[in-house]
Amino acid sequence: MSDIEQRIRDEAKRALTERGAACVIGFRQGRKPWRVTPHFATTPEHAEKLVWNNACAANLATYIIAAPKPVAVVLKGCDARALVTLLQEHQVERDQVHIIGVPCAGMIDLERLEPRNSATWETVTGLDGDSAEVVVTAGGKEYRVARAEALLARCRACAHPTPAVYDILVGDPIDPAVVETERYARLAEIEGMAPLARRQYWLEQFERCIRCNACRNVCPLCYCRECIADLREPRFVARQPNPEDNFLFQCVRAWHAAGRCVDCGECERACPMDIPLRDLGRKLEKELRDLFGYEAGMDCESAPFLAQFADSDEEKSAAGRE
Amino acid sequence: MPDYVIAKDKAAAWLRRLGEKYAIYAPAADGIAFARTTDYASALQPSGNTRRPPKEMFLPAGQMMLIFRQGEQGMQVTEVAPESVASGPRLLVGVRPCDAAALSLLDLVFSENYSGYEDPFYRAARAATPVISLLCAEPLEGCFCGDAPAVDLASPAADVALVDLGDRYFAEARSETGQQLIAAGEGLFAAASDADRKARDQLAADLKARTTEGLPLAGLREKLRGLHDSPRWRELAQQCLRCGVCSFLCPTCHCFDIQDEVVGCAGYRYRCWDTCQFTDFTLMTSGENPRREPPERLKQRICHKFEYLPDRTEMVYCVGCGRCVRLCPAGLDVRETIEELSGVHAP
Repeated sequence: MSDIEQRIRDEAKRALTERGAACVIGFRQGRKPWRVTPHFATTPEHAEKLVWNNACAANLATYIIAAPKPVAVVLKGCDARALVTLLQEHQVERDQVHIIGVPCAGMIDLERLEPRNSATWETVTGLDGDSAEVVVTAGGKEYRVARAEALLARCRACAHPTPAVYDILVGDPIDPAVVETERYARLAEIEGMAPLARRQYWLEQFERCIRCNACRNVCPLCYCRECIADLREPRFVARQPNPEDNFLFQCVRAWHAAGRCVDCGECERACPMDIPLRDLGRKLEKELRDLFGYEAGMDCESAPFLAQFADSDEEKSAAGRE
Repeated sequence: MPDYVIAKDKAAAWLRRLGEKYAIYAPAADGIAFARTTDYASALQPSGNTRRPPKEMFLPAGQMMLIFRQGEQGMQVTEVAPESVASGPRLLVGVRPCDAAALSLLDLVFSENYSGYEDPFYRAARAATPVISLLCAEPLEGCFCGDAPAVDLASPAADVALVDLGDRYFAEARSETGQQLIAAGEGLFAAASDADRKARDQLAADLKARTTEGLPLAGLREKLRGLHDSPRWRELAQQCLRCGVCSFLCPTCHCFDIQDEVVGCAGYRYRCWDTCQFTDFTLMTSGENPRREPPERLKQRICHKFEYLPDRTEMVYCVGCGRCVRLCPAGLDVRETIEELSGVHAP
């Protein structure tokens, strides 16, 4: 067991016994080394099940609104930024959440590991490693993969691996490893398409969508009590999936998340159809950065971005669309 | 019916002949779903499985049922012919044993014997679409078909069951239609030998061993009867995000909703996938919702598969395909749920 894992358990127990937390949300191990699932500990014994490893990809901020309060929660850099947005929007009050922040070296994308070793999954017994490499133990042998190559795409573009807000930080702060030129690489390709070709590109992507709502439900910021995807009167999108309505739904989601989305990438990870959903949010995130130098989820004291106005705000549009 | 073998380099020629009569659907290169193909040489892929099961060929995510128009003579309604679901004969190639078994389970649901209603759309699609299965060379991570009583790996519920024997395919005709499919490959097939049959059985047994975890899928039925009011559902569903991944991608889940699309004074009625995991699945006009939270919905999903349908059909409605395990964004693992519940004592 890693030192960080032990400290998470200790902090969880402390939150339950000394801080009056009704529940600690963290991760527990599933049936396999790469299977991890959110865990809700309400007793110190439950807290013994908490783990920290390379597969803790889920954003636990998603569970905070519905959780009994006060709640303690294990948050990575991206997760903590999502919580900041929730705090700015008063969906939860700061004194009701005890943040066990964990600097994160990135989470593993199993699909990136799979073709790299010949071992079939059933022989894998370990998925360990440090900040430089991932070590897959399979069939008694070790396979080493450079960490950067094994990570989820969102983690390779992460600029804030250390939580911006926390009550206790478990582990040392981690410097971002993001390569600035790669940060918006896929986005630049899409931006480069002619408008009709771009529309065609997205409609093709959304041809696959089955409207399972995993993207929406996994999103920590999608907390509308009534969603246009569920409304029948008035009807915004048809219940049966079709590319136009699927795309419309995602555009509404992206606009709703403008100035709020922290690119935690959960929508894309959750999508069972491999639709590159992050690109919609990142386009808006990039424009905000270019236009206003704003990054969502960094300061829980400030007002939400769309509620901010300064006389010094310039009248300008995004590059290339003057 | 006799068994056959076909050399691998002749299999494409066989499919080409079948392609003259049928539109052939096989797992697409991206692994997402079955798609129309004329690339007969690569239609039979030995590994992996599609993310979307082939059930959508028979129960599409959206399916028009009737068209209506309010005119001067009143409401005119035109029913959609069930046969139009498939625009002609189709052939599914490379269906995995789990998914083939799932289709035989859906047959029961949509047939008059079990549900009291013969579904014309489903029946028409099934009648127009024979199935050729192919045994997996490798199980996927999360597969547990070895535990599923409905799945027969050596001889799955397909019209023709293929098994890759290295340089040739073992081909078993499991129906009259299957016999005709093989007859269409006249001159390409040879009779299978006892050694071929032995090799087929060995491969199926090996795969079964690798996908068997000892989960009590059939035994859960009796257990669940006493667990309807168990507090365990609450713990087991805590991380559930209420999305539809597990059920939409389940090859045996078949619940649907019926909706109208109306523009002006005309429109159409369609049915589309629905799921017990969605909040509004049981929402009533009064605002009452008997399955408001994930625990009640998990109970519905589990009991429907492992208790209610087994009560009616004597079949367990889980084929161990592992899709819900691999694709749940919250890492919920139905194998854990099954184990937990089978170990729980009734309160």
